[in-house]
Amino acid sequence: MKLARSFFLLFVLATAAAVEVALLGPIGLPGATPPLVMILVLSASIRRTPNRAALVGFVAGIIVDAMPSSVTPLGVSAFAFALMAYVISNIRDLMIGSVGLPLIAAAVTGGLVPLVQQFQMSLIGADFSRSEPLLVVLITSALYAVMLSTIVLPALAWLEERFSPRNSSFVR
Amino acid sequence: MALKPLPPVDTDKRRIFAGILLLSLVLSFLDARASFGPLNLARQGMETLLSPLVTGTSSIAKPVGDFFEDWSQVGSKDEIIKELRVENAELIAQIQAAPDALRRVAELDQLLQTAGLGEFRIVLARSISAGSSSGYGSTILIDAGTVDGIEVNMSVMAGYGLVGRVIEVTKNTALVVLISDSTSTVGARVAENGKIGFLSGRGNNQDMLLEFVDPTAKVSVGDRLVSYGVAGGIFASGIPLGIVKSVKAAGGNSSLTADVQPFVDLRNLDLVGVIVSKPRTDPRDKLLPTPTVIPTVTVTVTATPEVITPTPSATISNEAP
Repeated sequence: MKLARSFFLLFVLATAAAVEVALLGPIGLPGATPPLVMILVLSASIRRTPNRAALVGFVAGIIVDAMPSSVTPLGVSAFAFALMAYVISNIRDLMIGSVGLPLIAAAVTGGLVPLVQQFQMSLIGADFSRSEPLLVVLITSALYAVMLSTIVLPALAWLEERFSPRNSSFVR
Repeated sequence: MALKPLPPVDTDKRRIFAGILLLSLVLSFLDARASFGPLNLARQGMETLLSPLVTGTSSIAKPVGDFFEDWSQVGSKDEIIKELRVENAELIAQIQAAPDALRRVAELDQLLQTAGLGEFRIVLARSISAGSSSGYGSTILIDAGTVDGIEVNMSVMAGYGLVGRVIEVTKNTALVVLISDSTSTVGARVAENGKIGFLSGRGNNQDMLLEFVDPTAKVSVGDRLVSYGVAGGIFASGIPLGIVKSVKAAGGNSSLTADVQPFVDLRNLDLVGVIVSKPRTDPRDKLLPTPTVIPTVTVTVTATPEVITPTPSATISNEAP
């Protein structure tokens, strides 16, 4: 059952990454692409221990980096997502039951993840140039993260209740 | 009071997290160098696995994506349409203006060539309006005046010949009476035989009338006329005037008169040159347009014997059955 839930989460993350690449990217919104996978990782991190959350972030990042149209080397998003998930999981006690804090966390991580990615890209010496200025990307990413959170976080909470009524997590 | 000991730090758990981060860093470093074979293979394998998912999602999400894409580009598309319309209007204007521009270039070229050949110093001007003015039936108003050095009685020419003379000048415009005006008379010389006469306008853009000083002078259809200047005269010498269209005897004696068609189409004047300085020497006939050679058409008919191919037909027999 635990393995099945893990595969289910993997499928959800892969589908979300595909939606991000195939739907949200081509829309052509100004600035960053709405970070759907990152919001899923955030949501999962709220209900997991730090190491498990970091593992989910790592796997999600690997999927994003391995997408056919990805421009980031394998491991760049994994690093940023794992770091973000670990931090969020460490403060999860504050966020469970709160409405405002997860949105604030989404805004902060939405803004910081592209920054961490940029930093890591320069650290490993990868050639990477964005079409938009970094500040625009950070601001729009934070904005889109908040907007997505208002839909995705309640939807995932409902899914968790539906699939695991006694335990508020569908993957432990 | 004894200090309460700090809770033990779970170093194993931190090692796991640090391991995840380190693994991510190493992966990204190796992948960025693109030289680590197994990682390339792993990446290609993952891309192969994920491609169907992306393709499937794309085909499902395409209508939604197209809608949002169109929606997000509504403003920019309007802008593009607006820019294209402006560009289209400019291109249409250019296409429409091209024949006019070419015609004007040809006129200018001809005018400069004629003026240069006759060593006339001219001021270029354009005809602003045409009609009757100041008691004259056939005049044009040009956009050059005293500021350009234009004075009354200066000769005005176009590409192929004389147009008229300046009768009034303001600061920026000048009124020109055409040689076709009924009050206008120009001294003329027949280029073919040197006979001298007077070319008078008849108004209403009719052909002009040539009358000779010498009643025995002869002229033929197709003869060309140039202006004949006299000392203190108005018109410069040697400017082409027109071509003889018809010749007839003048009222009961042997002298001839002729109808002359001006070289210049005086009804459609655009670019003209005001002669501000006459040449020291008479250009004589060298400004005259080359006579048009009408080719003689020779039709040769060669008879070709017709070849009749026999075709099968019914045979009529005279024999009795």
